[in-house]
Amino acid sequence: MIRWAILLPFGFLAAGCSNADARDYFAHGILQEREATQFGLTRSEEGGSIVLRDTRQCGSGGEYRLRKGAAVPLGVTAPHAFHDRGTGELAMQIFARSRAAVAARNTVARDGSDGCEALDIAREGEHLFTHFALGFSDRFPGGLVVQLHGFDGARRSTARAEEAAAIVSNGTPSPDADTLDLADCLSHALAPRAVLVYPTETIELGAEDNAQGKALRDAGGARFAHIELSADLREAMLSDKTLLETFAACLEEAAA
Amino acid sequence: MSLTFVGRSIVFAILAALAAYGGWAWAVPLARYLVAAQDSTQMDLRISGRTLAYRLQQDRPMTFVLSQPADEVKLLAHAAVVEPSRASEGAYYTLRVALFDAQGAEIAEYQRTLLSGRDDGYLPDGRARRFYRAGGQEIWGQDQLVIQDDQPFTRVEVTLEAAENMVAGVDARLYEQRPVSAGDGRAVFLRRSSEERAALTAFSPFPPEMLSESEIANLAGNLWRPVGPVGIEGRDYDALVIYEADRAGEEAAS
Repeated sequence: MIRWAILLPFGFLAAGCSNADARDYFAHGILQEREATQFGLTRSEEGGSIVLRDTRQCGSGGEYRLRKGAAVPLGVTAPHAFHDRGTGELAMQIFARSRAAVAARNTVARDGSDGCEALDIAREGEHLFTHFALGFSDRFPGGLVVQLHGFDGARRSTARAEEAAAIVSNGTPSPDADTLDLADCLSHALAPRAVLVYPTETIELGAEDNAQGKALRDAGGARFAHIELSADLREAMLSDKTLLETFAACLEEAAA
Repeated sequence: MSLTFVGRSIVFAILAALAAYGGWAWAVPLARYLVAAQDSTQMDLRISGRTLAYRLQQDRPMTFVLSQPADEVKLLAHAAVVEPSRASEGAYYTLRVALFDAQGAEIAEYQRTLLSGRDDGYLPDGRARRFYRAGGQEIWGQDQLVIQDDQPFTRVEVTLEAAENMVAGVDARLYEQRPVSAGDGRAVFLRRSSEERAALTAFSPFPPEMLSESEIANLAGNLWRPVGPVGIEGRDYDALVIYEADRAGEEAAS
């Protein structure tokens, strides 16, 4: 059943489409008014953006938004929108309130808690979510894909991580200057909450096995930023629009 | 048109196409490399921590509001220095700290002159122990003021009264005690890193494993958390991110 759930959105493979087709669609085809049914997605338009969504019952293809017209080369994504409560909503709100080029979130829970088969797309290198990231990278080779996650402080193994509001990583054990710039901006934006950098300030939640991070590094195009958000911070950003916009401004600055 | 001219044109066209392709393919990675290289003098240090500090003003106080009435706060401050004279062993600066109760009445005021030691600011190889990622200001030694009063206070105002000429600014951080319920003391203590536990038990001749339950609970009550200033950054205060070199890197450098 798990395999069937994973394969559902990949009906396009049987229809003669390849991973390269999906990547090319997200890079170029999406802007050329082409339909996305071959990928199991329904296309619509909403407030100046193209919306692609897997609308099937338990369809795990995901939801993707693309801004028409000028945009900052920023992709805001949430692969665990159900499990990491609030991250999907945050990704969509940041997209709506910023000039981010694209946004995406998953459509089934990673742990199957929504009654569908479990699927963790942050670990699926062959999922549409990954092709979406690669397509973004082809379109914006100097851009930034941000992945928003949520963590439970009580389940962390160190007090430093437990008390953090956010943990920033580029998915590798070597934070680069861009990652430090983003972390510094977030430190200002979220002060006096603690923003930590992996692995220099905490050895937890570094996302070194993240499928989209690996794919982007292999492709050598757009950068990848993995941001873990505490429950308190997620709640605060959902209720405080100024805080959310300050956070979004940091992402835009990092992407520009 | 001679054949030589056509041949040259083709060669130039091929070279131009190769240059265009190279630019398209390598412009972004090259730009990233150059940007990263600008940070290389600092980034080859192993970073152990980043902290937000607030630049004190001489013309107006910086205001901190505590989460609950307290009788003790901790203030960490350091001088940021530019073009120091060779003979300087430290930089003097004077702070004024005023405490206010919940009704807004001033209950105490202190003025202290501190010395930010120069040697405390460097690693043995001459690089800065704490540093800003940009700019030419050096961070010298950190001072700690523990401010206590018999009366509980809820607001603290800190002003830079005076500083030596070479002091470009003084950065401060204020900490209040973290509330810990009696039953949580042991869990809170055990979840600290080994370095933090060692620092908390530094007074004791015995290792942390040999401390009693009540001693551990008392230690847990001695944990601090940062307080941010009141207002909007850029308008009411300026914040700076301080980087700190890893102790292991420090040992390797010596």
